[in-house]
Amino acid sequence: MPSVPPAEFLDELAEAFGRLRPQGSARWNFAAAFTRLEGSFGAESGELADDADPLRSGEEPRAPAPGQSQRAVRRAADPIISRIQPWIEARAAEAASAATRQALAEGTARIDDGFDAAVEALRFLAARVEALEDAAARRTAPVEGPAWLVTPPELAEWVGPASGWLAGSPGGTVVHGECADGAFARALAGSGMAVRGCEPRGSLAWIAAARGLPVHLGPVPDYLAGLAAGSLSGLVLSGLVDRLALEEQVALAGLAADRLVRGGRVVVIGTLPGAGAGAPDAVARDLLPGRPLHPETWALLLARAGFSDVGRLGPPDGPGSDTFAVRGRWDH
Amino acid sequence: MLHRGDAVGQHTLGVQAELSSRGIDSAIYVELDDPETAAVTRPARSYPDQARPGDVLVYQFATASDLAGWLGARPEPLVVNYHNVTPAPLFAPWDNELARHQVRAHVELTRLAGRSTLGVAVSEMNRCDLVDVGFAATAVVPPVLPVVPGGGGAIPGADPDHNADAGTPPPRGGGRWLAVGRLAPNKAIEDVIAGLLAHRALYDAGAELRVVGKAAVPAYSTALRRYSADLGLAGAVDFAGRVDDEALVSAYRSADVLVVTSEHEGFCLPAVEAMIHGLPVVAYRQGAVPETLGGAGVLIDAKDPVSIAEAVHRLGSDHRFRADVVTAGFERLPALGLATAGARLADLLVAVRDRSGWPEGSGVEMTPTAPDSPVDGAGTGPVPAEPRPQPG
Repeated sequence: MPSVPPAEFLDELAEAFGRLRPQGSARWNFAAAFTRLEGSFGAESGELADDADPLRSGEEPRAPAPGQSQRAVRRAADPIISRIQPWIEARAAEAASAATRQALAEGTARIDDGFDAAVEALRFLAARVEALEDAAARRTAPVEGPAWLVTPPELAEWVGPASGWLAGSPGGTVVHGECADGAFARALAGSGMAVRGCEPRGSLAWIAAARGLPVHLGPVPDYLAGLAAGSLSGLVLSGLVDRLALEEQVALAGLAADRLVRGGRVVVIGTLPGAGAGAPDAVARDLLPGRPLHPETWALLLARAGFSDVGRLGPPDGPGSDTFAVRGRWDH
Repeated sequence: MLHRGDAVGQHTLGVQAELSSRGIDSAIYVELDDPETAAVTRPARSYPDQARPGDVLVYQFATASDLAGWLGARPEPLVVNYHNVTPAPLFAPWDNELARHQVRAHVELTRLAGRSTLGVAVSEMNRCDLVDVGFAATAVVPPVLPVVPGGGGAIPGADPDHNADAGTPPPRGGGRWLAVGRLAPNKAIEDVIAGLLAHRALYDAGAELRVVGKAAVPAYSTALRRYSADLGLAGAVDFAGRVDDEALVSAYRSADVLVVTSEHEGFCLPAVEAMIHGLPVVAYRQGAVPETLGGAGVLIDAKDPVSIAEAVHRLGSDHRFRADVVTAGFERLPALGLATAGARLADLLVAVRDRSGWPEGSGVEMTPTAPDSPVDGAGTGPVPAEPRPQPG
């Protein structure tokens, strides 16, 4: 019976779908907030309730009762005044409240106008944000699931060399993206490192998680972009490095640099261009935006990104490999 | 609009058919034409010229519409037949325009509460929505369903022979999952897909899923396809889209299980259709789903992928259990009252028209705080309230 991944990975499956929303991985939901605003204060929400206006209570102002004040007593003692006083006070109160209501109404009208303008501005902003989100959401590969077009490279022969290089990293987390079924990452973990995987292919990520590897489900660049700067001790990149567009490979090198702590180390394991077993087939070559780069090219990209001690990791023992490994250290 | 292919459209036509069978004139007025049904509808703006004394207006409420305000101003008795409004937060991350539409719908429903003689809901859950916004008189009547093609006649005459192997577990490898419903965020189809991933990893590497339903929210549909592809299920998940009645029946009959993971359901018609066709249901316990299933089907309290996979696996591996679930589904159908829904609703509409008091056993409930609920001396129940005078 295959193992069941931990609950964290099952949650990760749900999170992965959530990141496909137009707003992506943004935590703050502008759309939901604006919808609540619309529901509470929008044009369809109904009229102001009567009891919100205390001046519309309809209570008649009352003259002070005799005995409550000397002036009141004196007025009460004057029959003429006592007859007209309530009328005068009522009229005065009406005039005062009318003036106050008018001032408040004018003020309220200005507030209402201002609020309506603010809501309209927010509606326009919402429309622009939604247009941007939709455009971003539509920015997809020619085919969905491009990672499935190529087979994950065999990495077993690089466990030793990579472990040796990464052992020089300061303590912390090492990420392997794309970790595929997690075999390589678990082997690294076996040498004492704290390793996390990142894998866009769900069924492979499931296997990795079921084997005990903490796994993020999703594209590696997106995952790295969501990490804090200087938060990684080490980074191993494989798989995606063979199929990203050139500008994305350049960006990936820069992102790796930014996410590594000072002294952190990177290993790029790529497929040799034109290699037999590891070469992408004709369909993959047609549909994928990028192609495998030569090890010298990766060395250049890492050096240009600011890595030090850039070079090839020693060739593994045994027959020629279809893969290579390039290393670098972040000293900034 | 009156869409012949959706549940509300079919319900509306069914109600009209019932009224017609009693010799009661009726007409369907719409805000906008659907070319497929234009021959059987009239524009709402033409009603004032066609109104007759004794008319009763029945508003099939499923979404926001300018008709709500228009109806609110009409003098005729109004019955709101409520089919549920999905909460806006479920739409907001995917389509804010739709989400605001749902907010507007809720406001419109609230405004109609005081104007309406009766609110009719398709489920108790929906009836509670009506009470919450202030409907004084409410009743529950299930949706009026059409004759099911190939179903051997009017439902609920579900015929077990139509799915002769209903109790037989599916062959090992290649289990057939089915999900039916509009591709909208409240249906949470992504959970079915994740469940399929788990099931293939744990039990049946050949299991497949067919998703039948119209793409209602483009961003959501796109995300579902991408999610399937990213999970490695592009070849195992078939998004069939909207299908005709025959294809839908075929989908139910060829599947091994219906999986429902909705976050919000006002009735869950697919569960009923599955029971009609002898298809066991695995469903997330939410909304009106437990009310509709009534103990038939397999209800799960957590819809993580493993729980879904385990529930489906049990149906596939335990012959006796599967047979019991299918039988329970057949036995549940009469209790839903589907066969008499049209008649019951027509009885209520006639009572509103005739101001004759609610029929015996109508199930009309009056909210305790309704201030102006007249009660007739015969004790048969409250008389339908006076329609409000036309404003102005």
